[in-house]
Amino acid sequence: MKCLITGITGFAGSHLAEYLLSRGDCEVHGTMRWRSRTENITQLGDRITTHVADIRDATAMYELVRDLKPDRIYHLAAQSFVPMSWVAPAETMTTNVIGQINIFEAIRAVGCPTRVQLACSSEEYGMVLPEEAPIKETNPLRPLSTYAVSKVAQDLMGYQYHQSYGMHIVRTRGFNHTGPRRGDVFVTSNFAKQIVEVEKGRQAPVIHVGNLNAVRDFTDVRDTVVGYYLALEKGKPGDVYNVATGKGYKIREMLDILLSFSTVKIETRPDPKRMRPSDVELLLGDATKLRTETGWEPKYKFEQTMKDLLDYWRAKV
Amino acid sequence: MTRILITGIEGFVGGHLARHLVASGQTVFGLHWADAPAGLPGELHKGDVCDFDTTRALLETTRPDGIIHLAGLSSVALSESHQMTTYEVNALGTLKLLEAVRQLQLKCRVILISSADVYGRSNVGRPLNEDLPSLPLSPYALSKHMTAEAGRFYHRAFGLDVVVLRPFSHTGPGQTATFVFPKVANAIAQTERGTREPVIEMGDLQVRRDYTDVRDVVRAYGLALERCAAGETYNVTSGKPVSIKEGVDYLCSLARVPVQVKSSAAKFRPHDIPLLTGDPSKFAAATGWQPEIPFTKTLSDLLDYYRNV
Repeated sequence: MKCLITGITGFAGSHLAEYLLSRGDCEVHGTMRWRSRTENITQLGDRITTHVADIRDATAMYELVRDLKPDRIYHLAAQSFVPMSWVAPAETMTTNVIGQINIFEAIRAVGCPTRVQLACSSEEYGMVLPEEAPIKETNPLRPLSTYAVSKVAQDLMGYQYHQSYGMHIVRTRGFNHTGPRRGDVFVTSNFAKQIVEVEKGRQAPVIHVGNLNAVRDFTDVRDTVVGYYLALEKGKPGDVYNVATGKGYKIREMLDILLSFSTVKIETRPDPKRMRPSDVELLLGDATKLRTETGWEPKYKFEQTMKDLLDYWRAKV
Repeated sequence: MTRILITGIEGFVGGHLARHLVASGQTVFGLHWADAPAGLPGELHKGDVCDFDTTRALLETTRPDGIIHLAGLSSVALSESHQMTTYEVNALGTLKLLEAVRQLQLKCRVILISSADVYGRSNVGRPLNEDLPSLPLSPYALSKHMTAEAGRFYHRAFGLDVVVLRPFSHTGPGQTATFVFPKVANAIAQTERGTREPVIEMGDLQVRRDYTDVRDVVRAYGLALERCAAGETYNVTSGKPVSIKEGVDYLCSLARVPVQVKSSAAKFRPHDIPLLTGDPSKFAAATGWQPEIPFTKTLSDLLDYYRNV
């Protein structure tokens, strides 16, 4: 089976590539932008084939789909960082929404029977009322950032292209996911890296933190990408699936778990710059639908994920 | 000038330019789209020149006296597979930058980097001066012609302080291995490490190009901030053409193990021009600039760079 991962150099993309390779029945291709950093995929060497193709360039996407005719596309390429969408809202919309149109239109123009998984996001739920948690797929979408709005657009566009053209598209709404190679702009990885910097004497024993009371449902990225795979193989075309553990941790608890794997004494200090203009207090997902329809089951315990993340930074810093 | 903004600071030229300007006492701000390499000096901001809001907000907060606009797709090959992106970044990105400068009424010199490629089919085989017409032969060359036209228009219509530079080929430590000499240097370094076969396949080795060391080129850009005339266009070049073969042979002579270079017709470019050489006299007269680094040193530094990557 010929698989194409858009955004293969990214965090989830690189883990999905590893998972598909481990299956033994997939030929793995990936798109990357010109001058993308390749540190997440160097360990894969020539077991994968990369193609320089920016999803924002319609012609580049068309030529790639025409030449490759993949059986599966896992569409992960995106401007995926919520705070970036505060300063660059138009760019976020262009990359995420127009980029996906370019992929869909390329498939339509080539006429290949490619199945597409869309990596949508729990951020689409946005403002969640306390009685709504854990969130099901039927929950209203009340996005609170331009990033979230762009993901709502991707999500509904997936529905629309399935309805209008019968394309085999499955949407996944990934809740927070983390693990080795997570970029240090994301909270788990940022804290883990700061702890390692303190351990190595490169930072004073103070950790700068944002909102510690927010509750997040963290899935290990290695489980998340299996969810993407199963959703596309066994999920219903046109349908949408949460990918989540259903277990919530306050950011504070997550930090305590990280600190429990370290011997250094560290003070936490609030940093107003790390607060978002509007933040989602509670994000807890109900993935019953994915579990019952595809047999997905997360395998990694949160403590294991946090320990692996620390070890990743210990090897890297 | 003291406050200089470099767009595309994360690129090959951007890094050399940032280090040069900081060393000469300037305050450097940088806009980068790809991740910035470790150790890059200056106050760095992440963003895309295609995003007008980003550019305008950055200019408003940094209020530079000078901008050197390097951000762009810089490869002819990439421009052929990404034509629309090439025009969006190189042409529209430049227009958005100029329009932001105009709207904010910044007193600010803007250096636009066009390219020797804009000459294309113009005066083939003879030294090129700035008065010759542009006859671009690739999407990259067309986009760089549009960059220059945008600058000249903003100078003519709105009085913006714009200078257009047309650098000819330049190389040096840090250039990515998709360009010809870095490709050979990288292949030699890999052969020395025993991680590849000693045969290097190349395109047409007979074409001749002016080559200048990137460190001389960024020094020229710094001088252009002070000494060039607004609205004018200048070649930036050594004016001394070398054949690709001469450079490749020199690199091979520095190799610690035997390597073999093959010229393969399959790798020839469709529109390659046999000789590209520029007349450097206009820029020299305005700024007093002369290249200082001999090409042999450029090549040996390039090889050392790839030995230590």
